[in-house]
Amino acid sequence: MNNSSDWAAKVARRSAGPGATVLAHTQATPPAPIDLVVFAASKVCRHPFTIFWVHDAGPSNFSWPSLNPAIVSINTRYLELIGTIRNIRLTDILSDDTRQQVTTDTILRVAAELALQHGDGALACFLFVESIIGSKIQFDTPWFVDLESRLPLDEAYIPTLFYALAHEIGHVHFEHLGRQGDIGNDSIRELASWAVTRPYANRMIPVPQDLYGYLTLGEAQCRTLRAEISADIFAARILIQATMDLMNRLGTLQDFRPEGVALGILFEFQTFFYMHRCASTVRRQKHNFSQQIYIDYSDSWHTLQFTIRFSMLLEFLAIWLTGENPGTAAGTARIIEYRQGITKYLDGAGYKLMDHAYRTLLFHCANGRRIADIKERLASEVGTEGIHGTAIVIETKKFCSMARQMCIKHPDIDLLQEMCDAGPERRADVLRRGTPA
Amino acid sequence: MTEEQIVLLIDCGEPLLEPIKSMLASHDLDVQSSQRRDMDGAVATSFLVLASIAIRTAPVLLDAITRFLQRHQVRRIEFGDYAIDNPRPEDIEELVRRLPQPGGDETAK
Repeated sequence: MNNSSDWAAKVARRSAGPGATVLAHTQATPPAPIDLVVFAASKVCRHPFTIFWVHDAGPSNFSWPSLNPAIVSINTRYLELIGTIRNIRLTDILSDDTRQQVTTDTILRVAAELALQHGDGALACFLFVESIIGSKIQFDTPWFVDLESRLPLDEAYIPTLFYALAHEIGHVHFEHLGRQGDIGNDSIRELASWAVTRPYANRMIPVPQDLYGYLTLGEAQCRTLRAEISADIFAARILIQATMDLMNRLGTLQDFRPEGVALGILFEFQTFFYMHRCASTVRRQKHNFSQQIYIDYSDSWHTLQFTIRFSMLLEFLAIWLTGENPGTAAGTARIIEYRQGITKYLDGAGYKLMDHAYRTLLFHCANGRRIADIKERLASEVGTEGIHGTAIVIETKKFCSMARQMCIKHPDIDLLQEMCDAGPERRADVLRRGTPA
Repeated sequence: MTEEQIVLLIDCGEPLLEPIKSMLASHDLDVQSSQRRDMDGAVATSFLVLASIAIRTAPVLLDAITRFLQRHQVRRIEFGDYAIDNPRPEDIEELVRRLPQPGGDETAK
């Protein structure tokens, strides 16, 4: 089709939503880390794809894998938020309680921005306010440019920033191979039974016992799992290659630690899972699914799916790290040893914080609470002198600005904006009055 | 001389995907389509059909599309710089009236 760059840009702009800035990615000289991911992916994925950067939008990615060229987005707000989550999970300067508080605040903020993107202003405002009140510490969300420059250029750099991108390119690859990987339905079912009973699986992504009932996987579920596992393994291969290329260019390849990139991939996969879960939850909320539906199907299937995917990715990386043949007793022993080493590290790396934070989000969504339920708390905090009230106003201004940018209108957004515009002594009154002027 | 081509973009539900593609392909057009993938892996609800259309044949093709509008599953049509959300048959008729005449000085805006 003629002028593919024109129509591809048009499709990307409308997919990103109103107010977003969408720019086609162009290769830098010398190549930037993302270019190394593109080089590595292009060697495997023969179907052309165009990457679009999406700025000033909610933290969500999209792709149109079947087009020619396929369209894959990379969203800077998504990267900023996963960068924040990474910083929280790895920090050693906060107490456990404080780490939990900032993790929960961040997950609620992610969900608030996703709700905005879905056009649900009421839920977005509630979750946003819940994320900023009662907080003793506001954890800094880095701008994307800061994030890029602050992250050390080590084995975790490329997996942290580009896991989602590589995964989506994986979907493009398998879509155009004409098959979604080589694994048959029976093998998928066997793998699923094996994966959820691994002792480490339950520790990495906790699976309620009743989920085992979902193991009678139907055709559609097998298809989804096949496609996602194939894209995960594709992403892992690409990220390993791109990381080695990056370190080679930096002259640090001799320091390359294979376990560093493996941990980076698995760590990012867990964050990716919680971002997915937040997106799924606010989407369901918008369509008025009840709490029962979340727990009975949507979230359970999501959790089960990610548990299976995590196990497969861990197995792939353990085999790659050891270079051992899993068909031999000695090989299996070495692989198990590596798996245990990896899971021990990840055990301490904050996934439980995210799980607890996500359950708080689920609780709020399931109870259908709105800003009216918590505005008195907001009024009492924003009316206080000092840094906490100021921090609330700064974050609220950013949130209202994001809503305006996305063209989302709602009386609760107007109320928050009016609170910000009022002088410090009037802010609490504005909220208590309740409706914007 | 190569005839000017304009990209037609149709956002529709899955049930209309194949019928619309077949209709466009029956006019020897280069048609492509895709489902949208979102971050949460939700079941795709948005499908896109794209085709390059010569301005000369646009009225006939656009007219043929009107028969798909009754089922309310065409969410948006874009043709060049024209865009219609939730199009009705009369919107398409209006679009056809506003198209430039082939060979005329004006190009589609």
